[in-house]
Amino acid sequence: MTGPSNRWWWTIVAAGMAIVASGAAALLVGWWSAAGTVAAGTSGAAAAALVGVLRARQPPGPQSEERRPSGHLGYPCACAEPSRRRLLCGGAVAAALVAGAAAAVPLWSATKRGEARLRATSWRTGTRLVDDRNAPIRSDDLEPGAFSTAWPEGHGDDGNAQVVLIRLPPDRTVSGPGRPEWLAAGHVAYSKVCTHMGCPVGLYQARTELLVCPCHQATFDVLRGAKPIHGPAHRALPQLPLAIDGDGYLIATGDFPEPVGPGYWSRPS
Amino acid sequence: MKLVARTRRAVDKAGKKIFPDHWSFLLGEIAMVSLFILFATGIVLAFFYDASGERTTYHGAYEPMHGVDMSRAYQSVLRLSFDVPAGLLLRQVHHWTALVFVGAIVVHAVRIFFTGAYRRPRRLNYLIGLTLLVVSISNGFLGVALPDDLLSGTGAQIGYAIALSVPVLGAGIAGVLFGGEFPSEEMVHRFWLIHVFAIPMLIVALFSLHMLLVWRQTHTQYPTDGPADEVVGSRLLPHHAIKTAALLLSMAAVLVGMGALLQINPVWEHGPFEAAAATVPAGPDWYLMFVEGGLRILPALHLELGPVEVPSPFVAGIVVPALVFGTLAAWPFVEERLTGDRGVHHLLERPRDRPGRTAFGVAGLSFLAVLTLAANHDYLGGVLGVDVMTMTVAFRIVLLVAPALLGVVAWRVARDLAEADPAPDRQGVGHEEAR
Ligand code: FES
Repeated sequence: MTGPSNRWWWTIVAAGMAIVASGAAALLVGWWSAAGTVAAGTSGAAAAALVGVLRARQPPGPQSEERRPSGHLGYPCACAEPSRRRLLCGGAVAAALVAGAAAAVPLWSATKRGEARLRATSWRTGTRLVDDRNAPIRSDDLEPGAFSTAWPEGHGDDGNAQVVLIRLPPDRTVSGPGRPEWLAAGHVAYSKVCTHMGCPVGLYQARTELLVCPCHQATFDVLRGAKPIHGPAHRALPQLPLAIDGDGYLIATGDFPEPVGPGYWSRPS
Repeated sequence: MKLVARTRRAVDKAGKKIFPDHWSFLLGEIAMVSLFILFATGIVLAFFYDASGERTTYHGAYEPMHGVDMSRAYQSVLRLSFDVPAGLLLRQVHHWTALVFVGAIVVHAVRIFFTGAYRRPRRLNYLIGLTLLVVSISNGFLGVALPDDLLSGTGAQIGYAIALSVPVLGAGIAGVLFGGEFPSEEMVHRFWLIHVFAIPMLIVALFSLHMLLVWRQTHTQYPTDGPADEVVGSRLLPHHAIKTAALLLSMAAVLVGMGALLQINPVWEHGPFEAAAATVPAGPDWYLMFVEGGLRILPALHLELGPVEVPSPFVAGIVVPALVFGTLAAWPFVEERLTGDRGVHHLLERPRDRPGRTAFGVAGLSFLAVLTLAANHDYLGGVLGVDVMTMTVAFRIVLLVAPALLGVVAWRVARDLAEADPAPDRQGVGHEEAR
């Protein structure tokens, strides 16, 4: 058994080195590098030397080793005795409980802080809507039936504040749970962060007035407050209250009424 | 002099340690070697990676991206890929090795499960191994998110929604891990520290413990290879060391070959992460596909219990993984209860001699396999010419039927095989216990 089994391993070593060599060759084709050549050559030589040395010491055949008496766990002997073991186990559990309690306090406060953060975005009363080049959006920039992505001015990096801004066709408005009084010159804005798992809701079908999330195809009805009508999302996209300022630019009149994005257990409804 | 002599004696003694020769004992070693390669390549990658979410404008060697606004993290990965000699090679070797690493752990665990190697006295070591698997999968997730490209951003987004859906503490956990609300400039920095520091330390600690216990408790072996009271195989020095060296060399060779010839995660094609960019539906690495599959096909449970909302990713993102790993962790203890066998076992069992265990394992594996396939249900639907909704329903049915069916088939096959070829009985203990 020893002979063939050994030869098998030597074959692997040889094959491995052949592949090292071809890998090095591939590396040289793709990435010219003198250092690479040297390194590949050296490691190849080192590998060959290693194999040579090991080969000189042919290993013996199968051997055996006695096991400790069955029942021995292999743990330090202090644990082997039942009474000590119980003590150790009890101690470990107690220590784990204390450590857990110690970790729970900061985690709990982080949770409270995290929740507070989740509730708010950068929208304030009077914040202008800007496009992806930071240009404020006027109430006549979008054609009826067109849509675009908008951010709060000065907060283009607040990914949770992004909205889809849609200019509805002239005779259209939104019905519940949408708030028609939050429209401005036929524009409606919904959070672009999917309420399923937070992907940007990027597809707008003007003909059917539907917003579709590309990730798991949640579909929201624009004319009914972006209520989900299909797919895995269960919450409407929060609507941003809009108005028009004195210079004809679109502004928000406050933050979203509820947290945007994916749900969490203590999310206020 | 004394020290030299003593070291010599210790090495001699350790060199006599016996390792079984059966090939299936190398599966764990493949994982070990992958871990070494991950460390080696990872350290070099770390020299060039810039764990910063700060914005910058690209002016590197990759022209199509000139003038694009991106994070410093993504910029440094582009630089690594295009400007650093052999940087792309190392990154690809690292990624391929990570896939092999988790794969080797899984196959090793499958061997442990189906041969009953987890029974006393090795239950603790089995739990350590399971923890290693979970920790390694987590590190794979974090590593993929580091380049901060559009694809990894999508993955991180899903991770964030899942973290949020943890009961009660979700908002805190998500906030601490992701550095605030997603997307946050802090994220890559935190992920980076966990990926290269916290989890590797944990892996080294757990892995050392794993090895220490194997060393002290000795290896198991197949009853055909030796008796219960001694291990038969080759000595550590030199035979087994040669095997390991051969494994290391050939795995390094294959993985470098893969890194050189097979493209993986071409981050420059995805572009930088942008919160508003429409994301391509793309899957995670294979070991997290079962979660993605669950998110796609499991009915999104949505409950509102008074003030409490159960978020829809909860079932697929939290319950399914907890169920999978919880069941695995509980299995040795459950099996003891079921069989009443609380004895110490050093000899492995053939899967056919334990039809109940085998059927359970096959059912579990097929459950995971169906979920993994479901992570690609839109693609499969395209291939089959079936729309996505139909695929979802079909997958739900298959998810229920396949494990039951394959479990029964496995049970019968095992039983028939065992009848045709009774177990070799080296311990003098019958194998007819109820199961
Ligand atoms: S994230 Fe929008 S449907 Fe899943």
